[in-house]
Amino acid sequence: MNIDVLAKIVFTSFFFLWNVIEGVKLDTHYPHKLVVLYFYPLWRLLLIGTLVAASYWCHRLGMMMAFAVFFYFMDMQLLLYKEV
Amino acid sequence: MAPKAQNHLLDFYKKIEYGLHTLLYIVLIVAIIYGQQIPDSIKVYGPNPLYRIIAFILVLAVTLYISPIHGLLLALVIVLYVSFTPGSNGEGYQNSLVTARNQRRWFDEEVLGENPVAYQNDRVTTQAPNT
Repeated sequence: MNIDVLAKIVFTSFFFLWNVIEGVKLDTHYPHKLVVLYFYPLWRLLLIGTLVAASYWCHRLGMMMAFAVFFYFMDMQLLLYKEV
Repeated sequence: MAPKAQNHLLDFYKKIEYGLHTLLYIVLIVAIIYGQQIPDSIKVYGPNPLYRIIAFILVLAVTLYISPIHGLLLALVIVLYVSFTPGSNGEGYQNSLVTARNQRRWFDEEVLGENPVAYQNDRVTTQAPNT
């Protein structure tokens, strides 16, 4: 099998499983470093840059990454800022 | 429109297409990164179904006519914008601050397997609306 196709399958499966595992939990625990890094705009820029690069490489991987990034941003927002 | 004018417009669009798409990338990325800092006065449009329908049609249009990656980023901007919409203050809670807690977990948290590190005050000052 072509290494490029294999890598796409591995990365897409990784983010798919990440979304499934984080999605089934009522109370998501992110690693401490991910919580701290959310404050830095450069970290968020890096994430979005990676998302764009991944989308150019493989649209399916981009979709899975977009889900993961969305849930991460939303959870951090709820944890750190949201009132009521 | 006369074919000549149409050609001129198409020519012009072809010339600025690359710059326009790059600019759109930058705008969308900045919107995602700083989306949570949008003032609440602008975020209130999030729950409005009409704005949501327009936004989702816009995502489809961008995906079809510009590129799927632009569409994906715009979809991310919109879902983040909708999810960051401030909650309703209809119940008049005044002091719902998030505080740390160390005491024993509540029964429902133990049953549901939740392990919160912070919670909103269980005693709040309420007030009837329009008073």
